[in-house]
Amino acid sequence: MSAKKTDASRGWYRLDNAAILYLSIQSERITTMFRFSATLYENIDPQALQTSLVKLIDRFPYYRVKLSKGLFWYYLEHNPKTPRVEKDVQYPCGRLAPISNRNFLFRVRYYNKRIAVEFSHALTDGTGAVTFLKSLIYQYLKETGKNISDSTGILTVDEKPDPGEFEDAYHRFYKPALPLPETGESAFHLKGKLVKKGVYLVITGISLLEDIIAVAKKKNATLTEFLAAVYIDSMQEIQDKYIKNPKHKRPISVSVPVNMRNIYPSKTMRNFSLFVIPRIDPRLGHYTFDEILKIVHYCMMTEINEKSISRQLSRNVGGQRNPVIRIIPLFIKKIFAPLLYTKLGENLFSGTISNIGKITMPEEMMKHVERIDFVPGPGPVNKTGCSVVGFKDKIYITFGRLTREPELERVFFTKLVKMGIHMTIESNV
Amino acid sequence: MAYCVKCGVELERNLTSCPLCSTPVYLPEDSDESYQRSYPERVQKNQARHINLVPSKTFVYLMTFILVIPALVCFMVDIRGNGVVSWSFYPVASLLLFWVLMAYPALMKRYSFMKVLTIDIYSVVLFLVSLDLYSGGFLSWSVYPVSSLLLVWVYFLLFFIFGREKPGYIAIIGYISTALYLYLLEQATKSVWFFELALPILTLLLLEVIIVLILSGYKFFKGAGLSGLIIIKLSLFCFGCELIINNYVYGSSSLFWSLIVAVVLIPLSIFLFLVQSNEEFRVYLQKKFHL
Repeated sequence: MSAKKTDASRGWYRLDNAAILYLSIQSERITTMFRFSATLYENIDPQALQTSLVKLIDRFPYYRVKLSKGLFWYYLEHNPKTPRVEKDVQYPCGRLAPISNRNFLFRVRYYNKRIAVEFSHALTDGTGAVTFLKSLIYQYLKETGKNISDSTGILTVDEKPDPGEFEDAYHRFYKPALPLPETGESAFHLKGKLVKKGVYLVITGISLLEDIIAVAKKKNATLTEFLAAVYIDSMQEIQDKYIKNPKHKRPISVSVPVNMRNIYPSKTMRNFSLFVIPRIDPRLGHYTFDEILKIVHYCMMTEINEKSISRQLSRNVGGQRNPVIRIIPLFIKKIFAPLLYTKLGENLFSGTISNIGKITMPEEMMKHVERIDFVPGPGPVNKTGCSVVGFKDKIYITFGRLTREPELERVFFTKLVKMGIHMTIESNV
Repeated sequence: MAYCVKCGVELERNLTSCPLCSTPVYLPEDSDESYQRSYPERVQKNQARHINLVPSKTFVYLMTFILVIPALVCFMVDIRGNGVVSWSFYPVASLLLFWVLMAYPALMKRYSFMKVLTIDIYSVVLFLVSLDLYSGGFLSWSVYPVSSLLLVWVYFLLFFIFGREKPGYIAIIGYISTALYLYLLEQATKSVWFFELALPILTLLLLEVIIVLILSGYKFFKGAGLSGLIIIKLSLFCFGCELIINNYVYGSSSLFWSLIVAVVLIPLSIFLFLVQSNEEFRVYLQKKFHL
């Protein structure tokens, strides 16, 4: 580990395991960008936002980076340029434009009352992005003259970055020679023609947090389990509609990202998440919602623990540590990695539902922030992704899709409405 | 509060149809002027992929050392074997050339495509001349590649300076430099073809180009009309060429192959002119053949 720290102190970083994966599949459509946004009660002052960003960026040196190519791997190196805030656009999570974005792998956008940060997955996962957004709001509120004294849980410009924030936690908790996790067969995917490049359609459903939790509680499930089950149930309904012959049906599985910081003691601000994949096999017959919920519930109970997760971690990091793979030049790696990812990654699950949980911040900040949104990054195989975030008394369920028809969204939200949950729908088209 | 009658979800204000099922909202609330859409209408600009071909300074340092070693090895082997510099001149000069081509844009503070191209062409010229000089008999074979490279450079320079705005200048200066180039070749090969063959063809080409440039200012010669004009000019050029060539080779002025070319090209250009002049015909073609 000491070698890693010197790398960081000299202004460059090796990519972590997830970053390698995401970069290898990056393309015009699969931008691997995801987004968090916060809506305040007043219109955003771009100047103040820019000042806060400039002040803040050195608190997050691991984000002040650009992507460079080595002979064998990409790496991140210190970017001497200053990041700029920009106006928001209709289709979020678009491709990074190296010139206008000054080579940064994230961007900060504003629109009316909203501040949005979009991060490339090469840089960090949801936890990192939320932490950054919170610090940005904190700094912005101070910049605009709000009196905020409580900074619990916020990384502020006054403190120095903790060395633990730089670490590649995948490497730290890697255990060699673990048996490989089972890989299932390829799962059912939504059909539908892709929209043209650069378009990303977003639908957000808003509901009261307590309503939805009450429904989940009644069925003895957590929120994530409940929503994942609704997701699988919706996919099942869609598959039933299109594929009549049970022999031709495919398993339905949804990948649920797990924040590994809850399992391993790490403070890293870079990627540190893996997936749990609950699955049903409709070839065995139609599943009722309660059956699906049971499967999801027990899958989460048995899979989310240090032992099961470390198998997945071990497989992923093991590939990256393999000496044969290491000495393959980058340009050859670039050809094979996307194939491998589709085969071992996205093909195995039908969709993603990412629940970042309830966002909390000090009470003084809370009263200036109206809502938080979380937009998932686009993926071409699954076509639709879903992300969930809770803030104050509301829950925001956002779907991003690359197809014209919001089929899954329609089924998903109608199911929730039928369960007696009041939903409000927003969209970017 | 507007609800979708089909999905049962509440809809964001100012929505005219349900985002989920596209069912129109039957009783939309009176639209609220102060209300703002949840996303702006601005679309992210599509930026071309930026490819940086210029190596960094540190990369140049690395390459310098990588190149110095083989150069020194060649030099040492040559000196130890022959006592003087003989064959090692070639590999060392080649490595030096490679270094200049690579390092120039990196070490230059402000470079442009034209500057890099200029330096590259001139260093290749210098390299070729030095090889020619070293192999004995100054200015023997190197005349051909060197003059060709210089001509290429002149053309790049012309397009760089005048661009698309002043094609006339490009044509005239290009004509002069090409003529000079051909004259040089004639002198170097010690043959006689410039004044009888090359210059008339070149002049003919220049005239054709200038006529096309002048006529293309008229409204008729746009689109299909311009294609027609270029095609008819091509046919005329073939006539002229054959006349000049036959005159030079056989001393006669009979025509043969250019007639075949004309038989193909002239009806084609008439067709194109027709397309240009007849609106109805053009629309018909666009309808039937649109891609």
